[in-house]
Amino acid sequence: MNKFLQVLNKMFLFQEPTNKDEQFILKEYEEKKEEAKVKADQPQPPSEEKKKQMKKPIKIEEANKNNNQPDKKDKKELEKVSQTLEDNLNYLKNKYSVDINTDVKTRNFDIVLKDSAYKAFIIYIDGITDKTQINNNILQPLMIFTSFGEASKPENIIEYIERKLITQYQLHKSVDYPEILFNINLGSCILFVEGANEAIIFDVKSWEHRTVNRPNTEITIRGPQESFTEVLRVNTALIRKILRNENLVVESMVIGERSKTPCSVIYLKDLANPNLINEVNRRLTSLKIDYAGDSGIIEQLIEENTFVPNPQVINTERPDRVASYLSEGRVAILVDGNPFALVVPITFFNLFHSPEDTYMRFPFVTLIRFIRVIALTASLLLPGLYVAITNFHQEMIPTDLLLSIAGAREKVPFPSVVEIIIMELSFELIREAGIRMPGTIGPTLGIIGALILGQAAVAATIVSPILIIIVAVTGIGSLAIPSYSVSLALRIERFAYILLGAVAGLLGITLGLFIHGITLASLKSFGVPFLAPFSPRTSNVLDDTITRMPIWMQEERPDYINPLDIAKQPKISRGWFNSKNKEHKKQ
Amino acid sequence: MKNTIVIGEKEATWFIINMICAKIVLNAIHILEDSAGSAGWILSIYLVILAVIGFYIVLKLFKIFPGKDIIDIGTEIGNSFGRIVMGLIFILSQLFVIVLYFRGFLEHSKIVSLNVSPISFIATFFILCMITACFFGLESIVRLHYLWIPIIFTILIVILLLTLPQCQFLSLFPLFGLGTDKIFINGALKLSIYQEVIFLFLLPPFLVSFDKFKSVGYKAIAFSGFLYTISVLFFGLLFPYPSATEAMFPIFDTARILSLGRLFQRLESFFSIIWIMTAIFFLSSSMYFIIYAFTKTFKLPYIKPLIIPTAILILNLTLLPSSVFISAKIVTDYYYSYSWIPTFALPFILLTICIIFRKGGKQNA
Amino acid sequence: MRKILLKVHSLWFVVLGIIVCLCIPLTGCYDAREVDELGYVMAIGLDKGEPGYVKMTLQLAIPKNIAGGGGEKSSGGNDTSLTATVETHSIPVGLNVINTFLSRQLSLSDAKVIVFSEELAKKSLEPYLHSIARNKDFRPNMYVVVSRTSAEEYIKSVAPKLETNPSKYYELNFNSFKYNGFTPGTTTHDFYFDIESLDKQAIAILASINKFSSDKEINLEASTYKEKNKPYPFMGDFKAGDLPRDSDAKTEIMGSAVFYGAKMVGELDGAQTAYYLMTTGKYNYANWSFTDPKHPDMFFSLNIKQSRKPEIQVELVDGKPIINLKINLEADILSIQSGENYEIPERIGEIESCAAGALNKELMLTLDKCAKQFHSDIFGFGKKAKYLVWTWDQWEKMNWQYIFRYSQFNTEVSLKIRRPGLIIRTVPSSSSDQSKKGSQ
Repeated sequence: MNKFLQVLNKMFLFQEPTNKDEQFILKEYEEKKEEAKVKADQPQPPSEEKKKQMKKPIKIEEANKNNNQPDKKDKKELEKVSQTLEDNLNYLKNKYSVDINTDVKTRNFDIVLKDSAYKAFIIYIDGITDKTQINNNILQPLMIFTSFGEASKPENIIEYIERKLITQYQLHKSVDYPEILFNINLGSCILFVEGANEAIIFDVKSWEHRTVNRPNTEITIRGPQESFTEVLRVNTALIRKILRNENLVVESMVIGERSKTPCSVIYLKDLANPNLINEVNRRLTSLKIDYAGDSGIIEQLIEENTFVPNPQVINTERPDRVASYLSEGRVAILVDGNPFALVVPITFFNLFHSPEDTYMRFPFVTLIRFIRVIALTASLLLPGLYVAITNFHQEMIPTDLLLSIAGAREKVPFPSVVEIIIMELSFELIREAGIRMPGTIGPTLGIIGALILGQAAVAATIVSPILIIIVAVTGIGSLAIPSYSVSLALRIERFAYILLGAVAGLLGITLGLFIHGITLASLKSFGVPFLAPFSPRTSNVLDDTITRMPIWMQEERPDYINPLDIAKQPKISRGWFNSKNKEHKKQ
Repeated sequence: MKNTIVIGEKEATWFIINMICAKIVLNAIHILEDSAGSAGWILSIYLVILAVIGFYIVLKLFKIFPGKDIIDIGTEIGNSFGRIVMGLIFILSQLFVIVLYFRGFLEHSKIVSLNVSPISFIATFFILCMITACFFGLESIVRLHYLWIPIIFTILIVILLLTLPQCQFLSLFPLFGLGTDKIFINGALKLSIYQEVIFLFLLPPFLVSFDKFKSVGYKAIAFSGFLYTISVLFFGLLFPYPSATEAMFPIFDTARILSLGRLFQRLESFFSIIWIMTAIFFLSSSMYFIIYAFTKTFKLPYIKPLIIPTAILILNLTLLPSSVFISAKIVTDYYYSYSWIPTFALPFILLTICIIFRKGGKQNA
Repeated sequence: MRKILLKVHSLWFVVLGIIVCLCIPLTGCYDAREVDELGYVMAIGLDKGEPGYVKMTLQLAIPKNIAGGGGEKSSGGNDTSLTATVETHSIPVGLNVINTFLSRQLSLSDAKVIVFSEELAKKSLEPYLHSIARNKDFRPNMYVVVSRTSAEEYIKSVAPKLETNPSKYYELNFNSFKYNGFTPGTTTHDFYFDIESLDKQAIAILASINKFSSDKEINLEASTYKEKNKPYPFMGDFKAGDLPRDSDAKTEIMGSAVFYGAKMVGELDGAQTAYYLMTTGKYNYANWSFTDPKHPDMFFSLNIKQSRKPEIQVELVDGKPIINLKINLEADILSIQSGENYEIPERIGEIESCAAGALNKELMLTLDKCAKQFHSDIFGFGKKAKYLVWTWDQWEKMNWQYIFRYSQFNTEVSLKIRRPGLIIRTVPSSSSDQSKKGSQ
């Protein structure tokens, strides 16, 4: 009861706003420079300092510092590599519970130089490391080829090994155990040598992963057919393959206390607004969660408003789409273990763009976008309008249609609202069931099931025939929208409109549209108003929202992202057009 | 928070157009026809010219105090007393207006579409929308205006144009209707049709510059005048004079006549979506500005606690008149006769005070 | 444990609240009516009843027969409609009474026609018309019909064979003025405003039940050709109910009823209604036949269209109006019975002038009839007379309705024949008179 009263209090009574800062608004970069200076002068709360520090690429340590190490009844918590090999070995064996953990392997051996021998061991996790590299590039030089060297007692054995012995292409040294542990988990192989206070970390990652495949959810006819996979490096490589630019920056961080998932923020350094990059980094690094295994989890944690049906972040599994968004000045977030990349900031109209829109020709694309608008209207409003019109405004229906609807409804026992809700619920059930059915049977069964169900329902006079058409058109309309999250949102909103239409007819639907519109108008996605560029009215509305202008007319990037360089191409981007020079000079 | 809101020029223009033209769907056309007979369109053009002249005078006042709204100007002139006086004038006059409009829209819905529902049921829906809109704040409301209002008024113009086959040009004669004195002398009082320009006077802190303020005002008045003129024109062409005065909702009657072939015949309920949208936009914005003016007058820091009490107050006042006859009489006798005073006469008085007492930072011409 | 109980309790309230809120729309709120709970009225008829009473007849559609059984039409055609008659004081009360014995709630939004009986119209229609304007259920595009028989008989006899429902029959039938010109297409919108206006009087469609029950009874006595001093009746010279025909469809519309204010003062036959349409500019096209100038017992037929709106000028001389009217028509030749080759430019003027003359003569008769006999300006010349004044007071002082009866008309009909169809030259048959004259 108390809780209920608390909830009521919170909803209806007014609370003074606490020291919450303003909602983040994405502004032009020049203004923020001065503000940043001013902010730097003022005494800052410690949390802000930490945030500022987190810009530098030592985030791994910070994340590991926040890690609550479980209270193990262990001896010394080693922070740094010890010079005694036994200590290191025992520490690691304890840490990894080697007696229970069967895929953490250690290999002891001796490094024999001309007249000195050093004890050493390597530790690695079987399954995520490349055996061939360990054998050929680490063990072989250290065990066999040491006799080819000349030095007998080098001053720094680690340096000697690193510079003269090992033929592995990627390695670095470390003294801190947290970093070493992190790297072991990531698939590196660590070398400890007796008497050295550093360890060498070799990058021999080789995880089993799916190869680069066709995209599953965003299918296009024209355009590249590659999609992201679950490995972060492969994904960043795919993006680099498209944007061959030295300004493409891939910042890395680790999210999740237990999962320690690597995560990358990708942007074009000379294009993306530094305020935006700062905000993205700030939000990502301030997350304190346990398990962050999926970009969906991260998306839910960084979006501004959780209780609105619309998504505020686009997730896509196509690298070409991510690359085109990056070249507009947006920022992409890639999470290891998940083939969906997140792109921020977005507007409402971006949710209705398909990847093919840029590759197809102008007349087709604009008309197809109009069809998507019709699909959106149909799938959102059609059942609600049907209920409102047949219950409240029967005079709108032409007489012939009205009489045939009335005649067909004679035997139906339910009121229209109940009919529609029954049919919508059954379609939702069919859709859910269709997802889980195996392979080829699934979608076919879904469609056939729907048709047969509808037909049988009509024959049994549970529903009237026109309802089947309405529900079918609604379902098809929601599938015609490219973004899966938006069609999910529409499914929820449709039910609200049905209820509103049943209660107050067209008045209810209009008021529902108003409240829906106001909610959208007040949403922000990473500081960008959700309904830009229509409201607030920025430039180039026609370029790429509902219509799409020809490519050679799109001279500017979207203004509402406030990129550093707004001009995309000069006014005459087709040099051959109307040019007097008809000769082509070979370069 | 208030000072970081910036409203663009186009959004403000459509906002003011909606405020002025929301009454087209009620009985504004009826009032114009009543005053001038078949010469309602002449009266409408005359009123636009008067409104432009009135706005020009108001601009002179605002040029002296750039970036300040009318309550700030009251503060500049009369310190706290001036602020409270200006604020109270605005609040009370607009409260009167919103109550009349609300009642008008409720009666419209009740007579036209939802006959049986009790009026408080419909009022609850409207109030819920208004409260939600006020919670989301000024930015969201004004941004949504830019998205919807052009569509709404385009559809209105389309409705009017679609009735062209049934228009009879001869209904406009006799040319001067009820007589030139009725048109030009008595009709000048009908300047109250443009009284919603007073909402523009609260916008200067949100608009970027004085030039934008000027252009918003002129464009809004011009477009509203155009809309009123063609509405009265088409209504006069369709309905001959004495019978036209019987119509309670002229635009609704115009939409009823529309019939294109056998299929598109009884579509006026569909167009009622449009009018309800106009209504809800007007009512939400009006309520927000009343609360905003209240907080500004009495120097209160927060708007949100005041929303629900204001809503309850407006709801109660709306349901006060016992029948449509009383509310229609109040509209005709008081609203259309006197409400031009806070909008046009008051700034003129302030301007004279400024010039006499040489107040104001900038050059007062 | 206590915490868990509290949580469950608060959740319970929320869930209950949601369920309650969801139940409300399932039953519909105040105004919600299902489509199959309404009875759709197609036609409304009003007759004179006992003093103080009026008989109201309603024709409703039966949706389940229209929708389900497409082939269930029997000879009567009453399967798709149902009529109900009641004696009442006024229309709204009558609707209330009919609601008691019909299982559905009446919905007038689809009513297509309102029929008044001649008796009632001659008395006055004013008591009923204001409720038609006030009630939003009565559409402005309902047709207004005056029936020479009683409205109840007329409505009961409507048994459409070609349509599945009577509303389509009404719509299509009353729209036929666009291609046959024998009825005015008056709707409630025009009718209501004309009754109240000072510059034009109202006119309604005239309907009746055909009085010939078999083709042996057909005769031409009821035609109006004698009043017009014509040697024989042409097809327009009839009023509803008198058409010489026999068919399964018993009801017919032809001609119009002329009103002065809200009272009916007379009738016009089909051809005169056509002139009304031409004068007001609503005429579209129709087929006419005229006597051949060279062969008085043969006819030629033209399809006449109105090419431009008529030109009307009104002047006031000595307080009496002088009205100049010019009607522009164009025509296509449909048939020349005599076989004369009129299609050459030298001879085309003959039939043009013949037709134009005939039309002009009848037009004058019609105008005079309306002015001098009915005193009713159904043509709307008053609208043109408004040009002469500047303000409404002056217009009221002019009192057009009164001075119209003294008006003089100068009419001119200009007819141009444009096309002859597929035949550019008529070659007479071997047995006709033409062939005996040789080739000239």
